[in-house]
Formats: sequence, structure tokens, C-alpha cells
Amino acid sequence: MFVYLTLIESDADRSKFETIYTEYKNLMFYIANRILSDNKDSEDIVHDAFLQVIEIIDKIEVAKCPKTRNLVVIIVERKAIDLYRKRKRRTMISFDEEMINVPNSFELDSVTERLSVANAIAMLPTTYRELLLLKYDVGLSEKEIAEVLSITEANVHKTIQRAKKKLGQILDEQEADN
Amino acid sequence: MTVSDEILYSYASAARDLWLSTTPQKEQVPEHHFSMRFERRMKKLLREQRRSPQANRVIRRTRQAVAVLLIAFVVTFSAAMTVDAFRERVIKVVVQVFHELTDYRFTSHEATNTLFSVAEIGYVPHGMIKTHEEFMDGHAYALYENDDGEFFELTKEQVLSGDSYQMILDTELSEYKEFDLHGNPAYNNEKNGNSTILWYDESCVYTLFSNLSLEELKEVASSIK
Repeated sequence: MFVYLTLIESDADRSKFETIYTEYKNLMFYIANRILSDNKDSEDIVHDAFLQVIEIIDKIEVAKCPKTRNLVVIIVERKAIDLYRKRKRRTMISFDEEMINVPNSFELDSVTERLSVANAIAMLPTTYRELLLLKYDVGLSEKEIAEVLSITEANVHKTIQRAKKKLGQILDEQEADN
Repeated sequence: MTVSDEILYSYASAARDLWLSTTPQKEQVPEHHFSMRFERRMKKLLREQRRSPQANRVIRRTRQAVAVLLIAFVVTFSAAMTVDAFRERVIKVVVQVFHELTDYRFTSHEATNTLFSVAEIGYVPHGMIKTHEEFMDGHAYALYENDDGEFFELTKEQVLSGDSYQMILDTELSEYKEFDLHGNPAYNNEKNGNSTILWYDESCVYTLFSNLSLEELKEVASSIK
């Protein structure tokens, strides 16, 4: 089997990658281990996530910034959840709506008003939040998101539509409650 | 309510900050002591990325060529040789020599029953002691040093069935030799006062890297079981 490593072309991108590695490796492990509760699996996931970061290093403008932090967290979170699903083989609920690694409302209440659009996005099921943030915050195209998350472009498009619908429902409910 | 792109673009960064606020800040993240295996893999990854763009281009072309060669090699030998003959050597090696580097790719297509173990070194030059070692998952590494700054490091990598192990040596303007070691070819490269000897047996690839003389390093290599 030939699995070839993408090689970073420029010195600037190389330096960016090394900064990302030193800056976020502990956080990435923390996120993976919060989902998997297994040191070895979590380290493997972090390694895989760095391989993924290499693939998109040219799309990262600044190594140390909230946008990049968000991106690496999403990459490692997605990989950890994929492994978690493989382990659990759960079929009870739709993968799109799975609430793994989703903050509870109490956590968010402490930092912001509960009924904001931002809050509603942050509390969406994991897949919806990831896709919306990758598209509307990180600025990746649907094709690029598909590559980062290893899913099809059609699936990305469909899931974003569902995420918007779900977000609309949540905002409607919040409005009705008020 | 219909959520428009405009709304999402407006609130996405706030949502991201909110979401990130539920993850610990850098100083709050518990320091994790990564395993040797992880550190080794990442060190290798970083080392591979530090090559010059020119070297990377050559490597990319090399890999493509090697892939084609390997496929042709496996197809040819699978068809032409009997099973017994194919089992004579579990590991196959393809060597591609370029102006700046040499690419060695070791592949295995047969399961081996050999248990992986630390290499036994029969001859260690006088005054040298083992200062570091690693052993896990088909990888063994040992570093020997003396007070005069001389050293040698031995890496043993197991090549499992269907797997491959690649070693790329910087061989630009270097002295390159081949010799026989335990009945298999050994590859030697000398550059900037350092020597590398690369060889393999039925299931593992060995690399010795050192600033010792080639004669002494060969003696170390010959004594390894």
C-alpha cells in the first residue's frame, strides 16, 4: 500500500506547520482524549490530524490565531469522533445530529447571552457546527471542507443545508420562548 | 426562520470564539507526556518536511517512479516465480539513486513468523556506552557514545507483510559503496565525516549511522544479530 506524505513546499509554510505543532499538540491531544479516553488512540489521532494539517497548510494564514485554533480543533475532533463511532458502531441516532463534544448550555450561559445566534451555532450538533464554522469562519469552500473532513462534497452541501435548517428551528424556538 | 449566508458570516467568528471558550486555554491544557512512539513519528514527519523544496520535488518524482517500478516488480515476480522461490527473501528492496539523494524502499509481501526483538550488538567499540534506547511496535533504536564525542546509532525497523519502509539518504557529493553483509547487500554512504550503513535480513531493515571509521562501523554491523 502506498500512502504518500504530502510535502510542504515553502519555508514559510514549514515554519507555520512547526508553530502549529508546538502550539496546539497538547490541546489536540486533550480534545481527542476527551472523546476517546484512550491515550494511544488519541495520540494516533493527533498524528493523523497533523498529516491533515499539512494537506491544507497553504490555506492557513496565521499559525497562532483563533481561526487556526478552531481549525485544528475541528480536524482532531472529527477524526476522534470518526474513531469513536467505529468503536461504538452506534446506529440509534443520525450521525449528523450526534452530540459528541458539544458544550452544555450551562457552560455557554456563563460566557454569553443564551439566546444569541452565535450561541445557537456553538450549541449545534457537532457536525453542523464544524461545517458552518469551516465554511463561514475559516472560509473554506465546500470542496475544501470535503477534503479536510474526508467526506463527499455533496454530503458537505447537504449537511450545511440541514445545519441551517436546524439553526433556523432553534432560533424560532428561542424567539417563541421569549 | 431562514438563516441566510449573511447572518452566518456575521456571527460565525463570535460562534467560534464562544465554542473555543469551552475548550481550555493553552496554559490550562494539561501537559501531556507524549509517548516515545508519537514523538518518533512526529520527529520523522517534521524531518521530512524540513527538506528543501528541490529535494521534495525529486522525492515526489522518485516516489512515483518507485511506485510504478514496484508494481511492475511484484507483478513480474508473482507470475514468474514459484511460491517457494518467492519465500526465499521476504523483503524486497528497490534502490533509486539520484544526483542529490538515494531512495531505498523495502517492501514485504510475505507474512513472517519472526518475533521482533532488540538487535543484539556483539561488538561495541571500547569506551562506548548505551546512552539512549527505544523499543516499541516494530521499531528499536539505540544510541552509543563515548567521552570523545564518537557515537553510533542503530535503528531496526520491522517490515510487515504488505508494508513498506522507506529510507532516503542525502548522497549528494558523497562516497557510496555496496558490500555483502550476512548474505544480503549492505549500502554504505559517507558524507561530512559520518557514515551510514543500511542493510536488511528476512524481516527487518537495519540502519547504522556514526562518525566512527567505516572499518569499525562494519565490524559493529557484522556483529549484529
